[in-house]
Amino acid sequence: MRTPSDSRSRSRLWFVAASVALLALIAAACGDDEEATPAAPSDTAATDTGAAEPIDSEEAPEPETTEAPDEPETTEAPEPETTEAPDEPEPQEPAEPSGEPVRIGILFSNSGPAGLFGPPTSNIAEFIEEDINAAGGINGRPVETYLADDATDPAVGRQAMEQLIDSDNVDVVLGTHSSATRQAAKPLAEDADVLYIYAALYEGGECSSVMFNTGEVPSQQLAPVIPWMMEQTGGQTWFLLGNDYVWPRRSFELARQYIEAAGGEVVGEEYVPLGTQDFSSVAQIIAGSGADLIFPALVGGDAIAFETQAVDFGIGQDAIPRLANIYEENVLGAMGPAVTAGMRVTLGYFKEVDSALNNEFVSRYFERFGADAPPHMTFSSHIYDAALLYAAAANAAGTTDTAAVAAAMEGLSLTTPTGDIAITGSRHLSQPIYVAEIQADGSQLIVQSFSSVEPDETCDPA
Amino acid sequence: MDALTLELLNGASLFAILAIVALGLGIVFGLMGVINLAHGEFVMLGAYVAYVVHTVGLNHWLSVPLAAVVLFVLGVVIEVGLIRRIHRQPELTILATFGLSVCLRQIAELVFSKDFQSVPNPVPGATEAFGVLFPTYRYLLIAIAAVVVAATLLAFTRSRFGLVVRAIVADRDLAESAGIRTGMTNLCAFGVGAATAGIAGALVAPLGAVEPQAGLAYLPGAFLVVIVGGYNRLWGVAAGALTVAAVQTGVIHFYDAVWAQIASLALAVLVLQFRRPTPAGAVA
Amino acid sequence: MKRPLGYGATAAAAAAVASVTLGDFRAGQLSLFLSLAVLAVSLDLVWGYAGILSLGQLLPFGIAAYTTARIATAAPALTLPGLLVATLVGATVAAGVGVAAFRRRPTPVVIGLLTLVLSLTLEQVAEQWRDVTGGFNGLTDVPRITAFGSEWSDSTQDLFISVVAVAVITLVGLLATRPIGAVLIGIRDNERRMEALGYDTVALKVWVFTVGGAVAGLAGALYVHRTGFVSPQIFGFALATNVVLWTLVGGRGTIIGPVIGTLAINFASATLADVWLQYWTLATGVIFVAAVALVPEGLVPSLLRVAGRPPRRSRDLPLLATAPATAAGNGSAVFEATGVDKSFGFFKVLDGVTLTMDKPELRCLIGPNGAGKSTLLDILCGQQDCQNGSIIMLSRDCTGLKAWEFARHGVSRKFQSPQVIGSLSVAENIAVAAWGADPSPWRLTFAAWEARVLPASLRILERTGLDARAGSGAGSLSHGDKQWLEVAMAMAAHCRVLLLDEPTAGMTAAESLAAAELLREVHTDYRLPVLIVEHDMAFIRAVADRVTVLARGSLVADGTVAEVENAPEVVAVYGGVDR
Repeated sequence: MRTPSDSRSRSRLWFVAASVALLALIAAACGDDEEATPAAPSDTAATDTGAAEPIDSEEAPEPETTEAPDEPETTEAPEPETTEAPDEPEPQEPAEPSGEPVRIGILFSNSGPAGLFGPPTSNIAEFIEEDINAAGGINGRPVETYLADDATDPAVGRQAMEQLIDSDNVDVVLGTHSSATRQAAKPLAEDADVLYIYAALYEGGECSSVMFNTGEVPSQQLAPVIPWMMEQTGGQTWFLLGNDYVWPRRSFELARQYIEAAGGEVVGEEYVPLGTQDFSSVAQIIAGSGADLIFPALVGGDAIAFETQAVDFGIGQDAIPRLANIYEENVLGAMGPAVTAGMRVTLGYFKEVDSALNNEFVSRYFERFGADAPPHMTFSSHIYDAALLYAAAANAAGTTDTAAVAAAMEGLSLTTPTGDIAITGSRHLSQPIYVAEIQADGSQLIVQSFSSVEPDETCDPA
Repeated sequence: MDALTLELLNGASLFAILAIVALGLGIVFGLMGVINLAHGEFVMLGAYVAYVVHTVGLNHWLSVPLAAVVLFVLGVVIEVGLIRRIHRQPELTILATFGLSVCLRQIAELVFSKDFQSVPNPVPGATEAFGVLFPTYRYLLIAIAAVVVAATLLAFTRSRFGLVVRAIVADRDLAESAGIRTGMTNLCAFGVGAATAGIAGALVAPLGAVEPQAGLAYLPGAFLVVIVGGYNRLWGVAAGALTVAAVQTGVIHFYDAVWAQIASLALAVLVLQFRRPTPAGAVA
Repeated sequence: MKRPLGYGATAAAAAAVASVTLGDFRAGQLSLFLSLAVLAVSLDLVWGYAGILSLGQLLPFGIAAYTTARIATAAPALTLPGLLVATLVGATVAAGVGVAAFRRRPTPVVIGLLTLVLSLTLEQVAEQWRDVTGGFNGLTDVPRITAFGSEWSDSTQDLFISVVAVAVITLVGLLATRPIGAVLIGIRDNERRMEALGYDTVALKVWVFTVGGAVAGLAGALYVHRTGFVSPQIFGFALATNVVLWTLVGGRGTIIGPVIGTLAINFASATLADVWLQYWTLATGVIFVAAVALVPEGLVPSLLRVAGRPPRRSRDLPLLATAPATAAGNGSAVFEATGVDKSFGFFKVLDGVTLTMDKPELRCLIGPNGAGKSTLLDILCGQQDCQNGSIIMLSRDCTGLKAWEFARHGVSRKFQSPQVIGSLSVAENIAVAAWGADPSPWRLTFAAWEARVLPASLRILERTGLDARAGSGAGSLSHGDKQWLEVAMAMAAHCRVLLLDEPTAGMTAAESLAAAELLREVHTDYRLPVLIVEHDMAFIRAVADRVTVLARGSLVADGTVAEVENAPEVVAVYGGVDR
C-alpha cells in the first residue's frame, strides 16, 4: 500500500526562498538603519546646539594643557557644506570645529541592576559634546557621542562594544559599567586598536595597551581614609560586609592591610550574594563581633536592605559608624536620613565639591535637566573627566591615532569639576578623594578631602 | 542561649517573609498548575503601593489592605485577559507570565523611574522579649504574615469553597466532569494569589529598597519554597518556607550567606529528584 | 531527505554570502545569532519534538562553553578538536541530567523546574569556583579558532561559525525528517501509546536529551569562540528564558521557526534597544505576551496555516507488507495470569484473579462497571503492576516487566478511549507502530522512510477505508476511525496477543457487527489470540469463542456465550438485566 503523495514541493521551495529573503531583508534593513542614524539619544542635534547657543567660555572648562588646541590639520580638507572656513583660532576664542567628527563612544549601563546610573551619564554625554566643541573640538573637528547600553550583562556589553567599534566607528570608548563587562569588551578594543578609557570605580589591576582606568581604585579610596576614620571615631575594630564579587573582595583585601597598618583589627568579614533581602542573621553576626566600625561594600538594593534592617537590630550608624565606598546619593536617599545621618562615604567626587568650576558645572546640570534630575555623581563626573582627558590628549597629539593619543595621555594633567587630576604611569588616575558625611537632612557634607591621591597600581603594557 | 533565641527569631522572620512571598505562587501553581513568573513583580507592585501610601502621607498599615485590593483587581484582570486562554498549557503560562513580568517591570520604571525608593519603618526600634532585643517591625511582620498565610490556607482548604478547591487539586479533570466550575475557582485563585503577593510587597517594603527590579530578587526564593514544600498540597508553602528558612539561617550561622543560597538550591534539586510529585492543577 | 539538505545548502550558501558581503559588524552579528540559533534548535529538538520543556538547555551549552574556553586558552592549537570535545561534553552533561531526571517519570513541569534550578545552581557554582571558572567575571580573552597554524581573523571565524551553525541546524532538520522524528512526536503527543507499542520512552527521552545536549554543547563552543568570553550569567535566568522565547515565537516543532525567531528577535533588539531604550524592553514584554496568547504555536506555523497548509506536512510514506510472525500457542498456553491482586488504597480492585487462555481464541471479558476489567487488561500488558500474582505471557514470566517489554514480547493493546498520535498522519501512525518492533534510536535515525507492516494491520486499513486517507492527520479522524486506526496500530508489528478495550464504544449496532466480522476474520486468518473487554452483548455473541465474567474483582463465570448468559451467578451480577 502506498499513501497518496501530495506534491506541493514547489510551494514549499517558495516558502524557503521567501524565508531566506526575509532574513536577508532583516539584516539589510538593520544595516541601513545603522548607517543612517547614529544610535545615540544625543546625536547630531547636540552639535547644532553647540553652535547655536553662545556658550560662556568660563562655563566650558578649559583643559589646562601645555598646548592650545591645534590648528586643523591641512590634510583634513574642510567639508564643502560648511559655511565657515576654519580660521586661524584666535587666542582665547576657539574656532568653531568643523570637518569629519571625532566619534566618542560611551559604553554604560542604562538597564538592568546598574541601569540606575544610566540617566546621569547620558545627560553628561550632552555636556561632553557641547563643552569640547565649545573649546574648539578635537584638532578642530567636532565631537559626537555614541551611547551603548550593556544592560548590566557582559554578553550584551560585548555586543554593545562591537556596535560602537564596528558599526559606529568610534575613535575612543569611554566606559562606566561593571568589571565583568570591561573584561568581556576589552579584547575588542585591543583587536581594533581603539582607545578605551574605563572611568568607573573598580577593583584595580587592569592593564592594557589601549586602556586607561580613571575611576577610583580601592587603594585610593581607602589608604588615606581608613586611618582618618579610625582617628575621627576612635574605633579600632572593623567588620567588613560585602556583596560576593571581585570588587568587594579586593576592597577588603586592601582594607585589611590599611587597618592593620593603622593598628586596628578586622573582627569579621562576610559576603552575601547579590540580591540578598534578609540581613537578620548577618546582623546578628555583626552585633556579636564587637566591631567598632563597619565597612559595607554593598551595592544597590542590598545596601538599602542591610542599612534599613540594621537600625532595628541595634547596629545602625548610631551604634557602629560606617565608612562606605559606594553608597551614592540615590542609595542614601532611599535609606533616608534617619538611617544615614552620620555615615561617611569615600569617593572621588560628590556634587558638593566646593570649587568654582564644580559649582558652576552642577548648577548648569540642574538648570538644564531640572531640579529633580538624576543626580550628577562620581560615575558621571568621571566619564566627563575621561572625555576631557581624551580631548586634551588628542589635541596634544594632533591626531586621534590610538598610540599617539595614548602616548600623550601619559602624565597628562587637568583641572576639572572633580579637582586636579593626572594620568599616572600606571595608566590610572591620580585624583582627589573626598569623604562626605551625611547630614541630618540627608545632604552630603564634604568633611575631608585628600588631593592627588595616587593609586597603588602598576602597569607596563609592553 | 540568647544567641540561639535570636537565631530562632531570625529564622521565624525569614520564614514569615518567605511564606508570605511564596504563598500566592504556591496557590496559583497548586490550584491552576500555572507557574507565574510575574509573581515577583506582583510583590514589587505591592511595595510600590506602600510607597505611594507613604508619599501621600497616609499610615503605612493602610497599605497592606490597599495593596491586597489593588493586586487582587490586577490579578483578576490578568486572569481574565490572559491566563484563562492558556492555563491548560503549563509551558505557555510560563512564557506568558515571563512576558508579563517584563511589561510590569518596565511600566513601573516608566511610572516611578529607576530610582530606589523606600518606605520608612512605621515602628522603628526593637522590643525586648525572651531575654533578647528583636526588631518590633519583625514581630509584627511575623504575626501578620502568620495570620494572612493561615487565613488564606484555611479559606482554601477548610471552607465549602475549600472542598471545591481540594477536589480540583486532587483531580482537575474529574472535578470538572463533576460539574465544578473551575473557571470561577481559577479566577479566585489567581486574584487571591496576586492579593497575597501585594500584601507581601507592602509588608516587606520597609525592610529594603522599593525599585522596579525588586521583583527579580523575590522570585527565586518563592520558587525554592514552593518546590521544597511541594505544590500538590497548599500547606506545602508553609512547610517549604519552614525548611528553606531553617536551611538558610543554619548555613549562614555556621558557614556563610553565599553557601546558604547554594544549599537551598541544592535542596530544591534533591526534592525535585526524590519526591514523586503529582502536580495538582498541572495537566499532564 | 534531499529537501532539507537542499535547504541547508542554500542557507549555508546564503550565510556565507551574507558573511562576506554584509561587512564585519553584520557578519559578526550573524555568526553570533546563528550560534544562538543552534542553541534554540537544540531546545526545539527536545521541546518542540519530544515535548520535554527544558529550561536548562544552558547546562550543556554553558559547561561546553567553559570547557572550550579552558581548552582554547591552554592549547590554542587544539580549538578544532575542542569543538568535538565540547559536543561530547554537552552530550555527557545532558545524558547525566536526563538519566537522573527521566528515570522517575516526572511531569513536564517538574522537568522544567528541575532544569531551571540546576541551571541557577550552576550559576552560583561558577561564581564560586574561581580557580576553574574565573569567578564572577568569568574567563576572558578566549582565543579565536586556531587552525592551520594560525589564529583566524574575525571575519574568517564569523564565516566558519555561520556555515557550521547552518550545517548543524540542517543536520537536526534532517534528523527530524527521519523515522526518529515521527517517533519523538509520538512521545510528545502520547507517551502511553508509544510505550504500548514497544518504545522504551524513558530511554528515548534520555537519548534525545543527549543529542540535544550535544547540539547545545557545540553551540556553546561556537558561541564562546565568537564572544571571546564566558561568565556565570551564561547559566542565568535571562538567557534561559530568552532561548525558550525565541523558540516559541519562531515556532517549536519546526526547525526553521526557532532559527527565524532567534535571528529576528536578536537583530531587532540589537538595533532597537539603543534607539528606543525602555520602550523596546516594554515592547519585547508585550510581544511575548501577545505571541503566547495569540499565536501559541509560533510565527512560522501560524503563517503557514494562514497560507493554508499544515505546519508539518506528511510525506509519502510507503507501508509494505511483511511476513506474519509465527502464530502463538503451539501447544503451550497463550497467557496465564495467576492469583492477581490489585488495590488502590483500601479499595481492592482485583482479588486473586486467575485468568488463562490455553489456545488462540477470541475471548471476551465482561462484567459490570468497576469490576476491574480495564485494570486486569492493564496488568496483562504491563501498564500497571499487580501487588501479588504472576503473569506468564507466551511461555515467558513477564511479572513486573514494563509496558514496552510486554509490547516487544508481542502483547499488543488498544486502549478504551482511542489513543493515536494526533499530530501524525494515518500512515505515520501505522509506521510508528511498525517501527516499534525494533526501536533503537540510531536505527530509527538511519532507517528508510518506509515501514514493514503485518498483513493483518493492512487488511484492517483496507477494510475500513483508512488506507485511502493515509496522508490525513490522525487527530482529525472521527472517533470510530480512530478506534480502527488504533486497532491497526496494535496489529502492525510483532503482534502475538491482542488486547482490546471496548473496541465498539461509540459504534452503531451495524458497525459493531461489521467490526465483529472483521475481528473474526483476522483472528481466523492469522490465528491471533484476542482478549476483548466489552459490554455490547450483540457484539459479544457475534465475536466470542468464549466469555469470562468478572465482578467485584473476582471471576464469576467462564464458558461459551450461551453458557455464561444462563449462569445464575451472572444473572445475579447483572441483576437479571441482559443488555
